[in-house]
Amino acid sequence: MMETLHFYPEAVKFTPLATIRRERQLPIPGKVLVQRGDAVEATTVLAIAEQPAGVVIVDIARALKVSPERATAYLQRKPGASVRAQEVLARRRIWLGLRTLRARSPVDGEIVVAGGGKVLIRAGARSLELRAGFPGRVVEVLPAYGAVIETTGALIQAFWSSGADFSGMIRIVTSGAEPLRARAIDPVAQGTIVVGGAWIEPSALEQAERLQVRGIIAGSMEASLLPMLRDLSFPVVLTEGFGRLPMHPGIFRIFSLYQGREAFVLRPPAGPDGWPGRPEILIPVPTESPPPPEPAGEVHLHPGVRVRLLREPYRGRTGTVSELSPRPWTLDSGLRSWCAEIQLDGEEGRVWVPVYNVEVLRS
Amino acid sequence: MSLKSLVTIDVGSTQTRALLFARVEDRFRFVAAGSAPTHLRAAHPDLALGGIRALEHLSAISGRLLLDPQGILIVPELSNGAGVDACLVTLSAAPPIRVVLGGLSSEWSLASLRRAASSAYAQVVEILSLSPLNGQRQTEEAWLQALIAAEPHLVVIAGGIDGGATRPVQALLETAALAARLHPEGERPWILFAGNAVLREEAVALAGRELPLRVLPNVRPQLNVEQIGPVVEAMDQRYVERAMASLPGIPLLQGWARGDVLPTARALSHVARYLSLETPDRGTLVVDVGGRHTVVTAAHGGLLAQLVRSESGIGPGILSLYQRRGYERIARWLPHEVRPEALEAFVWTKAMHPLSIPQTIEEMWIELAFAREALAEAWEQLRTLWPELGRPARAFEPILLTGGAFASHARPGALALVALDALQPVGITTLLWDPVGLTPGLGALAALDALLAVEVVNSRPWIPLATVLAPALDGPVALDELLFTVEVHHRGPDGSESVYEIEARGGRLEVVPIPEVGETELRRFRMRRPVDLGWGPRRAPRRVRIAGGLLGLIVDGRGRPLRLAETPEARREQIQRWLWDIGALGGSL
Repeated sequence: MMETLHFYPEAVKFTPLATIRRERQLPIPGKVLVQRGDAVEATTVLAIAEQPAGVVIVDIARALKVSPERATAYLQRKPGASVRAQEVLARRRIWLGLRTLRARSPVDGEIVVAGGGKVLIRAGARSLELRAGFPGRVVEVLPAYGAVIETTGALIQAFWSSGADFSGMIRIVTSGAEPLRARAIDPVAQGTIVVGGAWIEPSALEQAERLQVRGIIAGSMEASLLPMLRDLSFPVVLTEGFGRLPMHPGIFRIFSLYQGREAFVLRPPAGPDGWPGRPEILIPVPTESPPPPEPAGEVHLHPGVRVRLLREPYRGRTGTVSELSPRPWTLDSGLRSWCAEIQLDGEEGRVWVPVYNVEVLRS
Repeated sequence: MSLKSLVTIDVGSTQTRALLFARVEDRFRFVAAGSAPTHLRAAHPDLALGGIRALEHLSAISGRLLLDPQGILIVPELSNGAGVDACLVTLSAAPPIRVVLGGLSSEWSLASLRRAASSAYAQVVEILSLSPLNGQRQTEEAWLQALIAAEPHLVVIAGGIDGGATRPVQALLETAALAARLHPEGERPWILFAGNAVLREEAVALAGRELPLRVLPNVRPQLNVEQIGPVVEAMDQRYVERAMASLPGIPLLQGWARGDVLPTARALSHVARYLSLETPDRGTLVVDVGGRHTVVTAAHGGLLAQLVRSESGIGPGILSLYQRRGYERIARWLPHEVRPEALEAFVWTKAMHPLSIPQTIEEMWIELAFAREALAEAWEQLRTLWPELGRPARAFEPILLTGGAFASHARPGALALVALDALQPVGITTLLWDPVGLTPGLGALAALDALLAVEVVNSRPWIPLATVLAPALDGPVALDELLFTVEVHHRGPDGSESVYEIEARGGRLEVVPIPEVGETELRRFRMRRPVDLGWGPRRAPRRVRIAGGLLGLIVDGRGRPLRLAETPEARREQIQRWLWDIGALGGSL
């Protein structure tokens, strides 16, 4: 008899109140500027690092007319030393000391390497700053890389974001699961994050650009609008996907609950496969006692689990698992898969879908 | 001591597959397969967890206990039958390594390096050349800036036949060494030197003890001699080293494995070589369309040509594939109309949820359209890099279909059609099908124990999908125009004989069921057009023995290259007709 198999679909979280911790890290080692216990704002710089901006190569062997092996013997400055433009890097006397050959630095910078008859000078450096991204408290310092920040409030994991981290006051402009159109965005929306309960119409993007909003959060958008986003001055966040999908009612409720509060949108760094993680929307809410931590760990698929369906013909629908198939079944597509029976929300009845076509909703 | 049992774990970009091979009734053979999500995109990625769950699945399916209560693989096999004697791990989940190639000439050293890089999970991010590239000569400073900007994991320098040019190669080496020294120790790119052998000592001296330099045999010791194998091997090692450092859980799986983790593409090349030994005059083609990579491997005589196309597949690679190929190229393979917005929504959904699978037949056709384009693109690139493979491509025997796109399916005709459309073989060949993804595991076994691998290959672990007869035509033909006729003679195991004649018609696919038992021959070819079945125009042997397969004999009368109708409506009708002809429409098998 076959043992019971467990399936662990991906999970998406949205919770109105939890204790939230996030690691914020530099991509390369640098210097951490905060300490454990520090209160930070979204703009607080947690850590800095320097990246070389450009490198200049100086062929000292050629300038001194010696072989590359002998050239380093004539160096006047060693790796690590800073140099000014026109400063002598290496010198060699010839003709019994009557004449001197010199190799000079063409730029201000720092000597990083000397070898093979050449000297490399790092000309300037780009400063890399890591900001907190949201207000909170430092609960752990990650030496040389950053810190773990904790806050309390709402957390919503979205599907996709067009831009970098941003923040602004939440302003809901639709009354529910209706498309976001230009007329819904009035001048009061200027400088806010506009939230729409369904998909975005092209006219809304134009109007939002005119009014200089901070960003748009909606359920979905046609992928054909992607080129249009490149010319916009604000980012767009989708909670459900591309196409015409309404925002999940639970997510819309959280936005409604915190209308007027400041939201912070974070774009997690790329995972080990290079693919960026889900964008996250944090809405800090001060509390007297700390709420429970956000849901963590994996959930295996079993009756009672809340799920969102990912593929046609049920894409975007939500429901509750009522049963798992006892063996793999052949789908209409011809593929074979273990399946889960889902009681769809509303009056839509029950459907069977492959276990790989659901994500667990954790709230 | 000979192994009694073995598991292989293939860690793919979306799925991890665990395979059990064991000695059953004195024959070592494939027993069962299990799979689980690779667990790469989780909040806390852990590829060991994916491996453990795949093993749990395999345990449940095979009835053999593989893990102890702590979740550790039981090795060696116990007297009660639990556990296995060995474990092998193959890997394609890691992103490709970033590679810079440096050489003297784009026709010689760089051409060889490009072939080497195409055979590994490597992304060529920069090329340093002494000969002008795009009409511009590169200076040493430009090389240096390019090396710094490229942030490579590996730099390969080649150039000069043995005893030939030295100074330009020296300059390339010096620049690579300088750029590498800019990085802190431990983060420096590997430098491979595979150029003029005269410079080997100089290369070692230049690198000193601080730089990770490897001196390899010259990729072009003479102009007409190429040896890229050592470079490919070093790229494989760097790929695995990067994966060990960047993919959580891989070191644990490596700890279970006998020997090093093997890149999946290398395992596939071992299988291609093995299969080609059975048909030395024809060669073998192994195609793997996965989630993030598409790999095409051709082995013929002593030649091994391989193309690893990263960011191409029906999983995480689907977005890049779509961006390269575009709406029209994908939509042309669909039997129904799909608006660009709907196709883009499909692509994004699949890219963000690569584990998800088509539930409807319409979404299946879309996914298989992507599989066609992934395969066609890789096949085209392989033939560009290895022109000696010929145009049109030789009729390889057999063609093995593996990877996620060719997973177990109730309409195998649809999968055969993907291969025929993308590869367009000419002549007579056999399609083998790997519905459970055992080929990488078998390739890993071949690297460990060649005799055991031969034993498994001899047990015919793949499903013979079909024998394909695909004539080259001398020009366009009308739909249903008669091309040739041929008699199918079948002799059953009881000695009974049956004979029937089939007609190959233009623009059509004819599928003839061939009984699995007994012997089948094709006789009395009668050409009605100057078609070429691989033996020259209008020529054919008196009799040809064929194996048939799950589908039987497919006679592909559509011509080469395949001509798709010009208007979308006519094209959709054409695709529907072909799907119908091959048995992929209507009720499933």
